[in-house]
Amino acid sequence: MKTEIDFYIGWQAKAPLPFRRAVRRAIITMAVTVPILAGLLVWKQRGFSGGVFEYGKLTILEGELIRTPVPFLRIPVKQTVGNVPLFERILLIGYNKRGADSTLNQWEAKRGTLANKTLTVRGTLIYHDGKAALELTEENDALLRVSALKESDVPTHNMARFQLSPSASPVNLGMVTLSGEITDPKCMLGVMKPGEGRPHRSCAVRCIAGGIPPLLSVRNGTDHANYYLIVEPDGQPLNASILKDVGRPVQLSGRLEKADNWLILYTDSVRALAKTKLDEGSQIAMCR
Amino acid sequence: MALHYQAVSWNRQKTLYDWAIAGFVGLYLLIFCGLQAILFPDVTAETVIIRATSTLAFLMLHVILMIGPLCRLNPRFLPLLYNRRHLGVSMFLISAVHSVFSLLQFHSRGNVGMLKSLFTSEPDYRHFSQFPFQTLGFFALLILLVMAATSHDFWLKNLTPRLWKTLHMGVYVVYGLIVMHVLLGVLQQETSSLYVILLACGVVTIVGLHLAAAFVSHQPNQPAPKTGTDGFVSVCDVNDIHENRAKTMLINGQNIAIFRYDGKVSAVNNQCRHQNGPLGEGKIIDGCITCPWHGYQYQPQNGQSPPPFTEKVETYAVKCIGTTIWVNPTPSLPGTPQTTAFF
Ligand code: HEM
Ligand code: FES
Repeated sequence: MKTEIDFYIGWQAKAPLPFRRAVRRAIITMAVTVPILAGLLVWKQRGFSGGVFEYGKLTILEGELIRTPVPFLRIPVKQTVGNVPLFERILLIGYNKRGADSTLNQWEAKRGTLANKTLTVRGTLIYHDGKAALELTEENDALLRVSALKESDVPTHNMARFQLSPSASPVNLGMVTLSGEITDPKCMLGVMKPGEGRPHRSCAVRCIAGGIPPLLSVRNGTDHANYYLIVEPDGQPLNASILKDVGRPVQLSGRLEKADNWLILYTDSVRALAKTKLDEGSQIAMCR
Repeated sequence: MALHYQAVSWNRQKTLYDWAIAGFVGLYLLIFCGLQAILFPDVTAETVIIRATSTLAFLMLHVILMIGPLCRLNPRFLPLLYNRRHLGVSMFLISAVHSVFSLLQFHSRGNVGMLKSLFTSEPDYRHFSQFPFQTLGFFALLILLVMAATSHDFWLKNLTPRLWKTLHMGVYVVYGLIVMHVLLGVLQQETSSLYVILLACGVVTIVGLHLAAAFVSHQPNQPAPKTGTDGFVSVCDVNDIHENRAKTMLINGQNIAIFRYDGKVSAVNNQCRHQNGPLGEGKIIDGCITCPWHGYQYQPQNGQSPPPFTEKVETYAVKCIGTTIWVNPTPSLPGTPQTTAFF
């Protein structure tokens, strides 16, 4: 049976010595474990991308609006190699978890067709790994000016206004099969960290359901990643049908195009690939 | 004079306890956020807030769950048990910060409402590994909310201690939900084996302490009781019990505390009316059984709290033959006076 110990009731102002000693031991244990745990939990994270979201800072850009298959602003880059104008495409993205289309449609409702016109647009830059996107943070007010395409950008032969300027035509790179993870370019480029993977899946689903074009990120063995915007073979958005495959390993086959500094994959073949660690674990346990 | 036993005042212990909670919370957040800024300057503020508060709340949940069995194993930890609800409410508030930030970050400002998004964005409910882990966190938060909202003694009284206690056993459901929330969620992304090891250590500690405490409290520390013809059961010798203290017995499913004091013996139900505290680990102070948890008091001969208080516990008939104590394990209604058994 227990030996007699001093008796203590919680509300007493002062606990007897043996109680105070026990509590002191508990406090010291906590004082040692709490910092160690905090340190270990932070230290062992796998790290975060260097993507930048210039939250709160608006940037004005001027360039040609390209609406299909995904909305871009095509901007002449200052440095040119051998006098050939170099262009960079900035992916346009809506405010919040929305694609740019609703904002672009609003602009067009007011100003008429804008595709292939030169627009001056204000928004928040998001950039990572040589790719940039512009969030149309101010929505309706993000469009500052519209001007016809500059003379120098239009090729000499007669060209219908609404046709894609040949200089903007993407280059066909043939059929490819790629494995990676589908996420949304907004988060991936820097709005959220991590912007891919399991915890982020539901957010990527929200962004893609909201009209942001899906992005396939393909990692090679090293830490380098390539990014591919994904659309249907006919260039239509496939956002709705791809939601179930977001945030998990998939294999995609289709036609690849290079549009200036972006790669666009035209595909309707999306195959769920390997499993998460847990799937593999339970397979070993149950099926093999 | 009866001890003033309503736990309402703000005393030195409570203040110290709350300072300790605040100190450790501050220390953890300072180290976590500081190290994040130094080691991972690329991280976003939202992720730091989400991860700092979630891991802190989960750590606090472990501490909360360890205190109970620790006190069973060594009553000297009892000062940690008193006011544990402050720890519980703080833990709820911190986990609520994590939950709100997660909801805002992952589910707000999309094409459907936040809660709809929470439940539909990952629709693969049938596959274990793809199960939408965030919904588990949501239900854990709901349970914690109910527990935090009813933590005050007002609710304890109004809901009856038994219902209240059952409600607050929900903390174990919360623990299970959060373990799965972590396993199916962030551990699929942060794959360092250290995290799996830490989680395993946490679970093993909690389960181990509870098993150890259960083992210790069910140790048969008395010879098998002999039943007499009159329904009385011989339980132990008076000398096995210290003066003003008790011995507890489980007889016919009745949890009985037998007290020895002033040459007399009395038996009452072991469970305090306040929060089911173990009366048998209490002590007779000023002639009253005093609960070790929060100091509720009962008169040993009739199980009634001294006026003006009205709590009552079941009593049992006791008799002494020589120095052997005999108890009738059929409980009398709470507050029933019993004939005094002298030895
Ligand atoms: C509506 C309720 C909740 C939601 C939406 C939610 C969401 C999330 C998300 C998205 C993550 C992964 C975050 C990351 O990338 O690190 C996470 C992790 C975590 N959650 Fe929750 N959670 C909720 C409630 C809770 C509650 C009540 C707890 C209780 C302690 C909790 C504990 C944790 C822990 C320990 C982690 C792992 C560490 C971390 O990744 O932050 N969660 N939760
Ligand atoms: S006084 Fe709180 S449980 Fe007994």
